[in-house]
Amino acid sequence: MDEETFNPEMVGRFNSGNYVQAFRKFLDLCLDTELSKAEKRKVMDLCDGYNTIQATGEKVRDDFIHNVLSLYSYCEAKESAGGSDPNVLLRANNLTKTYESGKFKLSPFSMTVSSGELIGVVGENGNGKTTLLRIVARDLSEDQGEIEFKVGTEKDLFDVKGKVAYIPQRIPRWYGKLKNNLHFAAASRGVYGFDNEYLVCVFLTRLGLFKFKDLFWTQISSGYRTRFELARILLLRPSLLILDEPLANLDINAQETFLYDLKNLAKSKKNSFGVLFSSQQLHEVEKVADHIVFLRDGESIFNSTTDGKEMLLQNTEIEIETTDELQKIEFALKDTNDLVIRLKGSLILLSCSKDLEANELLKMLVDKGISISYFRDLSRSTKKFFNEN
Amino acid sequence: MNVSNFIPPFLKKIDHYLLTHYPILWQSRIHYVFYSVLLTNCLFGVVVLFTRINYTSELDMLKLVWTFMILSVTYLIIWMIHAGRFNLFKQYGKRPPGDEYLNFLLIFINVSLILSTMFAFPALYSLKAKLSISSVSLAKDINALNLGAAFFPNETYHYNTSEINGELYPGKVHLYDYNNFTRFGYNTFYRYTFGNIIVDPERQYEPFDQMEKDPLCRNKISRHGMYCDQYTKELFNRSSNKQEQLKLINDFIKVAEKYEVKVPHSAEHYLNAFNRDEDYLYRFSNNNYEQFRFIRDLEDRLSLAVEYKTGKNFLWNADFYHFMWYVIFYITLIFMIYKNVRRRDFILTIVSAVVIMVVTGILIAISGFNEDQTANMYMLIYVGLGFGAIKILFNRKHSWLNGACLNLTLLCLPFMPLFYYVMYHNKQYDEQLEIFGFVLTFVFLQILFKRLYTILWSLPE
Repeated sequence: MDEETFNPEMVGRFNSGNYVQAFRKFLDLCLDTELSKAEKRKVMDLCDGYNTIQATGEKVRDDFIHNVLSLYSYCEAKESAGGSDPNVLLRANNLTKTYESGKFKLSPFSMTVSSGELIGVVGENGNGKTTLLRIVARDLSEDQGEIEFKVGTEKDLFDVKGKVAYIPQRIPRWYGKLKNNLHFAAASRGVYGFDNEYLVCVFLTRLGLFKFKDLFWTQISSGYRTRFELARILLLRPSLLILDEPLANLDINAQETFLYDLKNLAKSKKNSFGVLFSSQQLHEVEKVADHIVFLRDGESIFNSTTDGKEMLLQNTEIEIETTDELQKIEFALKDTNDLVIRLKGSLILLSCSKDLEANELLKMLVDKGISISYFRDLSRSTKKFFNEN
Repeated sequence: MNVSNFIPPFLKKIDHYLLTHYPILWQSRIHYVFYSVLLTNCLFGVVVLFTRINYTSELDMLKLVWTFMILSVTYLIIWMIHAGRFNLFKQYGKRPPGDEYLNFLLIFINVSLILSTMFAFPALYSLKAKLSISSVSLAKDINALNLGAAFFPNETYHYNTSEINGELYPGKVHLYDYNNFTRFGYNTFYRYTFGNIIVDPERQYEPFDQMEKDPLCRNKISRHGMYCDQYTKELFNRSSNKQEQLKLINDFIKVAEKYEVKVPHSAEHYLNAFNRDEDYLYRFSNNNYEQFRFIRDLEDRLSLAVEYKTGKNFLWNADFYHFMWYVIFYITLIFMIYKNVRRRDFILTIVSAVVIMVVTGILIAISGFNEDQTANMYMLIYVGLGFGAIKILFNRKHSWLNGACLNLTLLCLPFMPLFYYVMYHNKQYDEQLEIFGFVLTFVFLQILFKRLYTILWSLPE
């Protein structure tokens, strides 16, 4: 294939040394493309090559890059004709739930989930995130309201649940080797023989689990268990993926990788799926979610797309960390309209009229000699709701 | 210790092939069960091969079965743990049509194979004992003993020899005729073996006088070479000179040694004593038990050899298979239920079954229900369980109570046709109805019960 026909973005990634991202993107495209057995074999060989590079740290060879780019272009050309429109997977109307103890009540809640859409459910502990997710996953019954699924044979709940994958916060223990669990997951969805080998190989490589494939539950960390569970669930080819606090066991880098992987895979052109997940990592959730729901005491106090977050902008609010005294900050901002200063642990929350932008507020502080070790603009963030408490 | 190091490469290949092609077979672990049971039973075969057949005392089959049951139960538990870990059904996976029948079959085969380890050693030992001595060889031994028996002392106080009432023991009276032939040959060996058992095991306990007319003995020698009564007498009477008599005694002693029984004196000693005094046998034997003890031992060992050769052990018994069918069927059914329901539902089913049994037991005891009333009560309970199970179709949320009803309905179904028939119609056990109960259960397993389990499993809490 002529090198000029290679995807420039991919070429750029390889040239800048970001071969991990490039290869992941390549695998995402492969998963979206109908390939012949010989082509799948090539992809598997490339996965082997990639995993060897990862394991040994050896230099990425030109022929490897050429093969990836060549196959990428081929997939691109083949895949461009395909693609599917987002479709509604789930409609929930006025769901309510009260536990027998009466201590908690989920107020009427409605939502729609479409394929390729990521919905983040945020809120403090004990405010109904897990309850909501379990109801939607049909793991818990609602008291009132209705859920309409557009996956599988609608009247057959068993079939619906086969299309809706739910990963609870506490991942159920699995047994045997990691790869055997993945093979079984793929086989359980009717992917047999060579296709089974192919999919497992691609997902192991795609999610960076290849070197752990022969390990057992007790031999991998809780973070990798989460990644493994994601791989397993993805092999089940769900239409709707529900994850309860998936980031809880991941370190900061892994959180970001996990969410971007999730986003890329969910927005796949041919195998897109909806994602509903809960998390406390607001910053990370806000970066990837298309839609955010904030729950407080079982009530949805914010339920909007990220585009609709302008609604949150009622005032400018920032969060800073400094070694300087509070009086010094008050003095520095004494001329600011509607200034409210609050202490939250080691953090200081500053709120003022939305006429003053967050970066201007920061500039004022810096200009007055306040040393800032941490800064975050909360003006359009749901974190404001946490701070309201 | 990594267990996978003990798995041969070919089995690993089979395992991977099944995993990626036939997950329903793979999850049952039938390949591992087949391999380990085969290995275990082969090991038992090797042990049996090097085990000497014991003729001094009969092998206690029941004791052996109980001993090996520990191994079987251990196997069964290990298999259940592993086979319970992967479940296509609980993963909402794609299952072939009639999957419940296939699951039943796989579990049934696995349980049968595993339980076979309990019977392998006793069965192989019995087989070895049966084959270790041929019928022809056994017949030869008995012939030699019958022909030489007259020269040896006997236990006159033993009931076999001291009894002279011909009406009570028609087959033994004439055995006291020492001038013609000693009773030993008839009384001991004939009784167990001569002409009837080896040739025709079904006629083992036929009276002696009928055996005399046995058509098989018309030609003096039976099928396996055993001498008939009259022919033995003829041969004995022909041994008129000392050399021939000495040969008969020596042949007797050789057979005794073959069965590891030591004869206290030499052949000459017995021949001299026999020829010296006609009453020697009576007196000799009455004076000292040790003098004829070896004959009792020989008698016992030969009887055991005959028993090994001709006896029916439990493995060839229909009742044994009837019993094992129930054991395997119910282990299969219970394990299937375990694989179809939440663990909590399974435990609560067991608790419910115990509660029902205790409560009905107390009720029967305090109310003094007669047989019909008791039957009505149990029928009523079963109908109630059935309704509880069917209610799952209309539930919007999961209920452990309905789950328990479903499990108990399934578990009791095999007995219900027979129970109904016996209690309300005939009051007689009917084998066909017993079979019908199992067939009915098997038919409903997929078309009704699987449907209910599918709904029960998917209903939200």
